[in-house]
Amino acid sequence: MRLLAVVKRTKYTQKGKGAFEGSSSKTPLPLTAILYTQKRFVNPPFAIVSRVFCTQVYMALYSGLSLDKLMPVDIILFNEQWRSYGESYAFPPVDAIFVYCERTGDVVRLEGQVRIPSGCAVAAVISRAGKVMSGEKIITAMKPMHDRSNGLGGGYAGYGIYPEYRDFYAFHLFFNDNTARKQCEQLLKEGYEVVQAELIPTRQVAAITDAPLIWRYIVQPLRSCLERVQLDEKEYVTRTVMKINTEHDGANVFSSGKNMGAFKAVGFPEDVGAFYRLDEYAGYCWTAHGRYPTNTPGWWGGAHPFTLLDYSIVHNGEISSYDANRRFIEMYGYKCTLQTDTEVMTYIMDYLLRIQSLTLEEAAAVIAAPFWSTIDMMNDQEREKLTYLRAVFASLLVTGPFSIVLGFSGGLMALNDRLKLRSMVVGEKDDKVFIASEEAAIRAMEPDAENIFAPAGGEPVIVRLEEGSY
Amino acid sequence: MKRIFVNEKWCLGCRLCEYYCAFANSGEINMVKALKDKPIYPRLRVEDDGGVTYAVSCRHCTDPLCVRSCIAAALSVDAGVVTIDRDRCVSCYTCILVCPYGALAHDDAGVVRKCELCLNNAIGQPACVAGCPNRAIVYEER
Amino acid sequence: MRIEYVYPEFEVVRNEARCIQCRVCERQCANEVHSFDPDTGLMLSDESKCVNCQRCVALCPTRALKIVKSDCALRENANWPQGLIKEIYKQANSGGVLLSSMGNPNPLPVYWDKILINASQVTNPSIDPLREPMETRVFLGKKPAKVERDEGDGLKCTLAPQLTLAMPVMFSAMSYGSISYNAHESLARAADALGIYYNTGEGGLHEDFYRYGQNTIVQVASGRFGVHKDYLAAGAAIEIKMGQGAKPGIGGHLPGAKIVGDISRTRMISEGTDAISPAPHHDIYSIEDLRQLVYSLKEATEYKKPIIVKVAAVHNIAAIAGGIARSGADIIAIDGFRGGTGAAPTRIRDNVGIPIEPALAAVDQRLREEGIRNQTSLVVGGSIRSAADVVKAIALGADACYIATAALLALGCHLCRSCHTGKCNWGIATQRPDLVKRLNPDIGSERLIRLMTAWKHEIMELMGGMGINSIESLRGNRLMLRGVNLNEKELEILGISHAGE
Repeated sequence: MRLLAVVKRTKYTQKGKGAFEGSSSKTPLPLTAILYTQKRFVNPPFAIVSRVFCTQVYMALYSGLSLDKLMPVDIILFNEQWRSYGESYAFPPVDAIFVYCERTGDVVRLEGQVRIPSGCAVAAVISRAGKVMSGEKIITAMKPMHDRSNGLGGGYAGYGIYPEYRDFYAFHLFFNDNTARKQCEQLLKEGYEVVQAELIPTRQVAAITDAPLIWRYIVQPLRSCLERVQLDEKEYVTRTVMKINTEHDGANVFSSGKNMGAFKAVGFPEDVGAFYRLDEYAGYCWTAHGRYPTNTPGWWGGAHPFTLLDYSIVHNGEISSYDANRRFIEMYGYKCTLQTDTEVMTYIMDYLLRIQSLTLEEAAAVIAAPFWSTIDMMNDQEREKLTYLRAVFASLLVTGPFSIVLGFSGGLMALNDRLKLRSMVVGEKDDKVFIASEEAAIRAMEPDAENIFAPAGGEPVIVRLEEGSY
Repeated sequence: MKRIFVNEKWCLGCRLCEYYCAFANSGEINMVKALKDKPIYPRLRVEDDGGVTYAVSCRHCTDPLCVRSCIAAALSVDAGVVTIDRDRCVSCYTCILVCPYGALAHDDAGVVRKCELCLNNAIGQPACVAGCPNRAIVYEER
Repeated sequence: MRIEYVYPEFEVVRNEARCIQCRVCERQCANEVHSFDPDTGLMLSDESKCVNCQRCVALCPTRALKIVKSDCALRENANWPQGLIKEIYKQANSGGVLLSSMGNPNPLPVYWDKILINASQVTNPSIDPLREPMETRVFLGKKPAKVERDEGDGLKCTLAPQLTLAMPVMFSAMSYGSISYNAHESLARAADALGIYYNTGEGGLHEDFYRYGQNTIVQVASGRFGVHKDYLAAGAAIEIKMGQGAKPGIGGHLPGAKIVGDISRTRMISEGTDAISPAPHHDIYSIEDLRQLVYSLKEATEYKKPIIVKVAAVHNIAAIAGGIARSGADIIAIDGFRGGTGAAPTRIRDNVGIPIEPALAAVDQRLREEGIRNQTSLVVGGSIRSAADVVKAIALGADACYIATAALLALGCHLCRSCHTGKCNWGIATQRPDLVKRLNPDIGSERLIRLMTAWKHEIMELMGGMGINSIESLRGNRLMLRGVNLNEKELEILGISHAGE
C-alpha cells in the first residue's frame, strides 16, 4: 500500500494573484504522469505540482494501479499554500503523483519525470560566411517533415540572434506562475547583473495552448560573485542553471548561451516557430526539431532543443545507454531533471567539450565510438588515442539510434549513432550547409542544394564559420 | 594414418575402455544385454602395476610381426589397419607370442581377437576413445 | 562401533538388472562407498560414506546407479530443521567447529532472480549480434579525472595500468592447494585462450604457470604464502585479499597434510606445516595501512600493475569501498555471501556477510555520489551463476564479474560441498595424485572456454535485445532492470523500479 496524490489538471488563468481557476477546463488535455516513489522525489515531494498547473489534489491508498479509493483532500491554490498546508497539517509524504484527465476520466502518469522515448525530425542550416538568415528559413524546413512529429513538441535554436548583447548570457525561462518568476529573479539578481528582463514576444497561434510564462533575461555574472566562489564564468552559469532547474519549482531555464537562444513549445514545429515570431530574428545558424513522443504527450520543458551555455542539441532517437550515461554525468554536477534522454546528451557534450576540453572530433569519438574491430586496425597513434578515449569515457558511449545536431557558437556538428539507425542527410549551397532528417527538408530551404550525402554512422559532420566571418 | 594412442598420465584405471570395447564388438545394441553376467573379452586391456595404469591395444605397426608370423594368413594389413579374419584363425597363438606389446588375446572360443579400431563393427570409430572419461585414449594422426 | 545417531543422508540405488559389475563405481569412489562381493558377484554400498558427488553415477556405463536423498526422516519440526539436528549430532560426536565447503546453500534471497531485464520494442531497434558488431571488451583500472594534452595539443594517451578483458568475466581466486594443479592449469589455459584472467588465490603461483602470467592475477593474502618479487612481477595484476564472501572476518586453514611437494614449495612453507592465514592482515589494521600495502606493491612492481583490493560484502560495504577507492587501489573486488570456499566454518559461511546484489548497488551508488566511480573499477563475485546474472550485475554498476563456482562446475564439480575432505572425486579440490589426474586440463580448459563462449553469446544476445551494442553502455544502466517481488526498501537499495513502473 502506498499513499498517492492525484493532481487534477485544469486550465491555468491569471485571475488574481497566483490563483488558479477550479476544474472548469473546457479543453481538457490528454495527460500523462509518472509514478514516483518518494525517495526519488525532489524535496518537498510536491514540487512537481506547480509545473502541471494543478488545482485539485486527491489522496488515495495505492495498491497496484487501482485508484478507486480516491478521496479529495483539498483544493490547492498554488505552490506556497501547498507547502504551508503540508507543514501545518503534517501532510503525509506522497509516494506518487498522477495526473487526472477530465476528458477520459483516466488517471495517468505525469510526464517530465520519466524518460520519454521519441521519434523526431531534425533540421539545421548554417552560413559558413556568417550571413544571417531569418528564422523563417528553418521553419520552412520543418513543414515537409510534418508527419515526423505529432504536435507534442517543437523547437528551435538560433545562433547570432542577439548581436547587441553578444557578450551577455541570454537566459530563456519557463515559469508556471509569477511566484516562481519572482523567486527566480531574486536568485538571478543576487549573482548577476540583469541588463534586460522581458517577456519573450509571442504571437497568438491557435494550436499553441497552455503556454507558461516565457521570459528572457540578458545577464552577466557579477565579478564579485565569481571571485567569491572561485569559479570561471561558464561553470558559474552552469551551476545557476542546474540550481534553478532542480531546486526552483515551476521554473525551468531552457536557454543560457551567449548570442544564441532556444525557443520551444508543445505543438507542431511550424506553429512553434510562428508562436515565437522567429521570422523576426536573424541568425547565422539555426537548428530545429519536431517531436514525436511515442507514448506520452509532450510538455514544454521536454521539447527540444536541450541547451546548456552555448550548446544546444536537437535529437532524433532513443538512447539505450541513457541510465549509464546519466548516472555517469551526474557525478560531475549535472542533474537530469527533464528526464528526456536528449538532455543527457547536452550535458555529455558540455562535459567533454568544456570541462575535458576535447575537440569535437574527439567528443564524437567518445559518444559514437568506432567499433573495436575498426580501432584495432588503425595505425598506432590513432589506435592509442581512440582506445584511450573509449577506456576513459566508457560510460559516455551513447548506444541506441540517434541523429543529433549540436549547435555551438561559431558552428555545428551533426552526428549519427555508430550503426546509423536514424536518417540524416547533409547538403550545401554556396556558403550554406543544410542538415535534416530528410532531403525534402533541405530542398524546402534550398531547392538547388548540392552535394547531398548521408554521413556514415559515427562520422561527425562539423561546420564552422569562416575565420573572422562573424 | 590415425591410430589409437594412450597417455598414461591421464589414465585413471577405471577400465571403462574395456567395457566399451567389449560392448562395441558384441554385436548387441544394449550394453546390459551384451555384458551382464558374462565374462568380457575386450580387445584392449588396462595394465596396472599398482601405480601406473595403461590401456594396451594394437599399435597397428607398419611392419607387424603378428601378420608376418600368422600361419593361416588370418591377419593382414588393410589400409594400415591390422585386421583379423576370425574364420581363418586356427588358434595357434603365434601372434600372441610374437606381439611385443601383448596387444593380442583370444576369446572364450579360443579365436584370436584384436583391436581393429572399431572399423569393422557397427560403431565405426574406436569405442574406447569415445568412452574414456579423461581423454587418456585418443585416436589421432601423429 | 559408535552409534552415529543419524541415518545416512543419501541412498545408493543400484539397479541390479542393469549392473554389469564392471566396478567402475568402486574404482572411482575415493570415499569407498562401493565394493564388490566376490561371493555373491554383486556390488555392495556403504551409504554412510557417500557425499553425493555423482562421480559413480556419471561414469556408470549402464546407468545402473543413482544417488537419492534418503527419505528416512526425523519427525517433522518447523523450528528444528533436519539439517540443524544432524549438525547437533555431529558436534556432539566431534566436539568441533563444523566445516563446510562451497557457497551458502540456505534459501536466502537471490536477488538476481527477482530482477528482470529490458528489451527494445518499436521505438528503438534491437540489435542482432549475429549480424552487427556487439562489443564486450572491458578495461579495468584507474581512469584519469581529467584528460591532459601535450605541447602539440595532442591527447596524452597514457593510462594507468589496465586489465583488458575480452568479456566482463574473470575466474575468481582459488588457491593452489585448495584446488589441484590440473584445475589451476585448466583455469590458466582457459583465461589465456579467452582473453580474460584467472586468479592464483593465496597459495602462490606454481612455476609451471608463470607462462600464463599475462592472464594471471596474483593474490596477496594475510598469510603471504608464496609472495615474492618474481611472483608479483609474474601477474598482470595484484590482488590484496582482505576478505572472502564465504567467510568474512576469518582467515584460512589448509591442513599440513595437504602441504606436500609442489604445494609446500609454491607456498614457501615447510612440508606438513599447517598453512594458516590470519583473520586480518597483521600489517593492516586500518585504511591507511591498506594504502601503505597498496603502494608497497606498486613500488615493488614499478607501478606497472593495477592493484585489486578484494573484500567480502559486509554491512557497511559502501563506506569501506569508498575508503578503498581512495587508498590507491585501481580495482575493487567485492565478494557476496553466497560465494564459495574450499572450507569454511559452517556457521560463518551461512550467517556472516550480505548478498552481493545490494552490496554492489550500494557501492556503485556511493562511489558515484563521491564522484569517484570512474577512478576505480568494480568487480563483483559471490554467486554469479549465468550470463543473465552477469548482465544484471553490469547493469547494476559492476565493470566485471568474478566467477568460481560456475567455473568449477564446468570442470566437473557436482557441488557435493565436501571440498574440505580433500577427497574430491572429480580431481578438483584434492591433492591426492590418483584423484588429481582425473581432471585432464585439455578437457578442463576446453570446457571452461566453451562455457565462457556460451555466456558471451548470451550476454551479446541480451545486450542486443536492449538495443545496446557495447558493454560499457550497459554498465550502471539500471533503467534496464526491473524488480519483481521486491519491497520498496529493496528496490530503493538496488536503485531499480518495480516491473510495471
